[in-house]
Amino acid sequence: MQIRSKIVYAGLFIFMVGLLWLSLRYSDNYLLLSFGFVLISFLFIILRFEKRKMEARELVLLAVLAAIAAVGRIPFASIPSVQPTTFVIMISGLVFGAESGFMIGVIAALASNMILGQGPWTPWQMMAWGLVGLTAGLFNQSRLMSTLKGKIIFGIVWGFLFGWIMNLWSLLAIAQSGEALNIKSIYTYLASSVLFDFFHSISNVIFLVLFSKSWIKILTRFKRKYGLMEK
Amino acid sequence: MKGRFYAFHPIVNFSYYMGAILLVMINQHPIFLFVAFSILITFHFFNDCFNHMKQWLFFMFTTGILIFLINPLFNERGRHVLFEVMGHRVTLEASLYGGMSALSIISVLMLFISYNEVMTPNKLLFLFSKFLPQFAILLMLTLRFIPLMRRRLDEIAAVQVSKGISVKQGPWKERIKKGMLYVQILLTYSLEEAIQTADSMKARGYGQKKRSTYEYFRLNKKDSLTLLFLVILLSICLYGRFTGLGTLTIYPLMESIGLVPVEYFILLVYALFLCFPLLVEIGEVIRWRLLN
Repeated sequence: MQIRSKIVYAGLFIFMVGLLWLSLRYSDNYLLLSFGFVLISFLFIILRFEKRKMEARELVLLAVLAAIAAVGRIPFASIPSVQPTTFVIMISGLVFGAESGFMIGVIAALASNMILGQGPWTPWQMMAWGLVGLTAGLFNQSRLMSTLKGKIIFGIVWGFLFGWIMNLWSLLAIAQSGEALNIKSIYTYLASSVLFDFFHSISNVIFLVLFSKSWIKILTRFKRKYGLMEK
Repeated sequence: MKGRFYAFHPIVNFSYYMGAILLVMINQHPIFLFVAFSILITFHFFNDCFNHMKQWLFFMFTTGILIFLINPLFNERGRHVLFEVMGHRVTLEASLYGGMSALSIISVLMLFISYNEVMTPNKLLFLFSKFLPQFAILLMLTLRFIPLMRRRLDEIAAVQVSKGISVKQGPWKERIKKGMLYVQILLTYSLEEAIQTADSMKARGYGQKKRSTYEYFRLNKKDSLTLLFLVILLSICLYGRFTGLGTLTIYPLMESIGLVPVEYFILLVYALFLCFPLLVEIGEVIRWRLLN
């Protein structure tokens, strides 16, 4: 088993290098190659997740959090660009760790797109929300993230980063056409979504200020009560 | 569309869509892209008279226009100047590039619209459960929870409204706070329920044996032959692309748009691949007529 998984990882790694080499040769196909690259990056973490045999309770817990992240948009339908998805994923990552945070983000994006419709944005959305959970989990022991100020900075940064990651697919579609990609066009492109990203950041901050304490308390209590994800 | 193409094994459907997206994206040539575009338009028309495409039309149109315009706006390179606006040269090369990118993205979007219809969650989960069983069950559980949570939110809202707490009115800051309170109630409610769900999963033997699937798709002879056929077509196109056929070199010097004889063959194979669902449906219609 050990050797087999090593071979799989080595294969994935070689595949990644191959894609990088292809992107040097075929500069017309950045978008396609980037899809390949994103999908392989997922596989690295998902394969690790597969190897860990999880308890039914842990699986259901992850699914509940992912579903809440996806459904949480509904009460806010009447308020434009306010959605608690990023907040829910971030708090889950903080409490349950990097791997769980990543999976919750990925699954929330994939599942909600299975209902709303898939498109070229799906891998990017999965990646963006997955990374929100992953980074929240990675920093959950740090001093900065245990303060409210640290969490607010994190929320603001991710509000903008999320928008930029989501812009990538269409930016890459433009990038593959000759010389159109330069600093000027990148700025223009990123600036086009700045208002939405700003609202996203603001709503993250509002949620964090009002609810981060109670949500962390609820989830931590639940985690301890049933002894979940303690490895 | 619940036609013959829909009835194929999920791996056939999935391979077609992945292959088609690949082809539409790598063959950056006006003629190839135009052929792909026409095939997909015909496909959507034949399928349901653009019924599903309607709601995406605005998004497709704006994305296409944006990508088409941004190239000549930022890119002045090229020998064939079409016109000049305030010292900015708009070249044929840049416009061609913009047009090709736009056509390619619109074709990809059209493919996704039909993908969403054909690849039902059940089919995708069936494929996932072969390779990534734990990921598949997590996805399946989430998909099942989404409608459940939606119903629970309605219940919560009904109770809260009777207490006079509504997200529909008041200043937006209050509304955000109340909305999140709903979600918090949903969280505590669902967490306890989750333990019950997990325990009943366990009681029914989750994790003891290999999981079975709700819908079982058997790969029959027709499916394998079709898969082989698609793979051969795709390989020919990819081989052509690697040797530089089916793509238009624009920089440093634009080649002529016309095709060389071998490229016509590649174009035929390319069209055959993209046409595949259309051909299957037409074949089915003809067979139906003959049988009657």
